Amino acid sequence: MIDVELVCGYLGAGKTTWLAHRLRHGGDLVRATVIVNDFAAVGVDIGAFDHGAGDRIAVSGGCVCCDKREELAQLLRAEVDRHHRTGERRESHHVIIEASGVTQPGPILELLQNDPILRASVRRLQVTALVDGIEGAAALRHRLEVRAAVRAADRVIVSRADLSDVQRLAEVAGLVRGLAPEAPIATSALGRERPWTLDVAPEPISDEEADAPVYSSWTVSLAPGTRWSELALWLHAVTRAHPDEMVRVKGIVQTDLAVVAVNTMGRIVDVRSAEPGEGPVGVLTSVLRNLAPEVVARSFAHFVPSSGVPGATESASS
Amino acid sequence: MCGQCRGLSRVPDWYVHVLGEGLRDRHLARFALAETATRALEGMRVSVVSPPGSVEYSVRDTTGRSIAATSVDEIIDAAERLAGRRFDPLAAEQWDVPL
Repeated sequence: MIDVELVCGYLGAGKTTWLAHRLRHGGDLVRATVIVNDFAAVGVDIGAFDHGAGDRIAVSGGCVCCDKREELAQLLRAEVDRHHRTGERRESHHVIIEASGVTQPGPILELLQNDPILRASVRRLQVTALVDGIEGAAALRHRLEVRAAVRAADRVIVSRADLSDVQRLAEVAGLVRGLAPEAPIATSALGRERPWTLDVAPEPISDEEADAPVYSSWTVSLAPGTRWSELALWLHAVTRAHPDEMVRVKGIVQTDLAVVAVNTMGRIVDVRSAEPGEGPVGVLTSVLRNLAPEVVARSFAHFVPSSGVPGATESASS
Repeated sequence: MCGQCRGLSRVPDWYVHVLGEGLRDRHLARFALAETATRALEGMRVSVVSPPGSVEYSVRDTTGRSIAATSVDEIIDAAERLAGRRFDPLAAEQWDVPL
């Protein structure tokens, strides 16, 4: 038997930070298998899960709720089979799925219910949804995919509580209560959880407010020595002009100055020195909302000529 | 003290994270950013300079008006205010500017 935990949440909601902290500090999870789903063609998050003795499996280039659903099914069946053959039948094996930021949980739950092997072998299923404690209220009001994750959740984690304030956290908690009245809420700061103790009234949301976005990804390989000034200017300019469309850019880049880890979320551009082994160097991945990858590729090639682009670029859409 | 800029040039925080406190590198980073920004924003008819000894960038239009900036965001903001229009790197008209 296996226990499956599905971790959902919009792009930048803090899934990787929260899960990495749990794997580092959760004794019972030391042998858990972690399946990391990245919508972009190259998974850059898997390097964050280097703690523990369990397998780390990347599923990249699409969502586990749609075009990568069969791959997820095969991986889960293989986990069942492997656990069965190793003779550890009395213990349940823990499998954690970190879904991509645009995954809809519904089709995954259907898969677990309808697949005969998985239906008979999944002893416990838990859905955990993460919601950003700073921008989460707007995301819940305007994005159907964010609501879907919360509606399906058995528990909800409101992240980045240390960077938010009580008023914003309460607004998020009220919206969560309206969508998932029974789900316990906790806050987290750098992955550390605390139970939500304040009393908040459920706040209803109408689905009519939300749009139906088209997501796509764009991945680019950058030449070593890409000029940091060109890349920084492009990142700031494009996220400034299109914060809702250029929803995420991630990657580790060997610039002319240093090897840096880049992470943008909406208008926020976060850059720091990369840790050794943190992920593939020279690959930048992005998730786009209602934005054509060709337009982004052409702009990047123009404004970051030192990157050597146009080179190999890959895209996916849902 | 940096021999080229003759001052404790300030760079945006993200450069400091990457470069540490090396003044020569910080000077070069400032200069590189000003040069790159000038090329990228040419279509907005502005130029960006990093005056020696200054803690700020200066964004200037062709009439001589200038606005001080200390970060990439502020450089773009200043360029937009001077040009009276938005800088959108995804807009096709920006690509016609030769780099």
